[in-house]
Amino acid sequence: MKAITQIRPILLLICAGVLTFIAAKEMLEMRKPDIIIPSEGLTQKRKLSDYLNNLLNTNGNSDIYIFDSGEPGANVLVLGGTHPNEPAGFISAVVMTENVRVMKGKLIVIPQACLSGFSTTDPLEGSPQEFFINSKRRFRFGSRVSNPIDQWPDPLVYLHYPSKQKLSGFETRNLNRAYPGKPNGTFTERVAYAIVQLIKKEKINIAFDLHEAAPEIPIINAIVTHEKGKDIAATSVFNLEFNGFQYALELSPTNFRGLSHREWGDATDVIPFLMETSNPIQGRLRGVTNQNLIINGIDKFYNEAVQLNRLRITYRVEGESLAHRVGRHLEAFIEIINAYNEIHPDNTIIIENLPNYGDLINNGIEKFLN
Amino acid sequence: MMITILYFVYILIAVYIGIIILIEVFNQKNWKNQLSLILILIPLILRIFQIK
Repeated sequence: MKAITQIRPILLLICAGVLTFIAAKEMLEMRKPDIIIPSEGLTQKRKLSDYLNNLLNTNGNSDIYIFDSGEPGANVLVLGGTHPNEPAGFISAVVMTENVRVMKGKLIVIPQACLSGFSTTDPLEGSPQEFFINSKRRFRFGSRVSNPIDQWPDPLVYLHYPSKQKLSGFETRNLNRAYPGKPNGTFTERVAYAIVQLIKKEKINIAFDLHEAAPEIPIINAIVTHEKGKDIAATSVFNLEFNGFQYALELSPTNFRGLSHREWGDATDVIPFLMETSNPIQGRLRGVTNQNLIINGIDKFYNEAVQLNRLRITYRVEGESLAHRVGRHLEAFIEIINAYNEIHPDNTIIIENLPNYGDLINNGIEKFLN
Repeated sequence: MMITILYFVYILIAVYIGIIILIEVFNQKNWKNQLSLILILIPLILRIFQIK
């Protein structure tokens, strides 16, 4: 009897060891980097630590892809993956990186701005860890915020620097609540600071932060900008609507601190733009949460909610596919660049070989991945 | 990974609790209690090795 009581815990410990090994293997998969194959137009690849040294050898040292035409012109920055659970922002930046040729001016792309967030998922969401495009290209589906392994513990209340605005403690790891950042602050504040330093040092004229949101969030299909960007945004929204894309223009609130469209504009000379698409996998009404929902964006509960017509929900019966969402981001990007060039004819940028909405819908995203 | 004093304190606490649970697994007679303790041990091990 005594032997049994000694053998049983040992057997249970072996079982625990096996389960721990399986779980650890699964979790460590999320630390494997995503493969991005830049176009031939790439002139330089840098790291975020080039703009803030203390990010070296950390999980916040994102890759920066620079496409410099060598011809003087406007400098443009594009951020994807500020929130790694918003794949259209990330994939739009990847499609840009893998296709563009810049003929005038300079384009800088950071596809994974919050690199740390790509190494974990949000607790209690049941999110998939990865998704595949055309079964060949694997991309991670991460967390909205930095991995707690990189920044821990969360305070009860997050005090934004330098405004002292109070937000929930969880937001302390949210890159889009951390601008303008702090060189010796928390991990996320340092990442934010490095991005702001990049904007200053590279003399960026116009910058984009690509996002997604749950279908019930009112800001979907909006272009949010700083006061400096309202003329460009109004022109581009007009042109987008003319071409059949529904968009709204939102001005960045002056009293909501830490966001890219507010702090980039206040702290630097850049004209910032933030865009959102409708992402059912982030929504509270969603059902099965898997790769199909990321790629096809079809959810029966959102469909039902739209039929009931009691909420303002941005959801189409055919679903909010990733190609549709990435297409919208790229189409709006192209129109904003066109509007910028129109309003600043003395300092333009010419970008070629960037697919638009129609290209993505007709050919799929896979056609534009190397 | 953030290496601070708080990080070491956290790891020490996790190791300490892990050892106590491990001892308790051998002291318990009831298999259901042993199983429960083992299940608690898994996330602790993952935290100690900073995997999750």
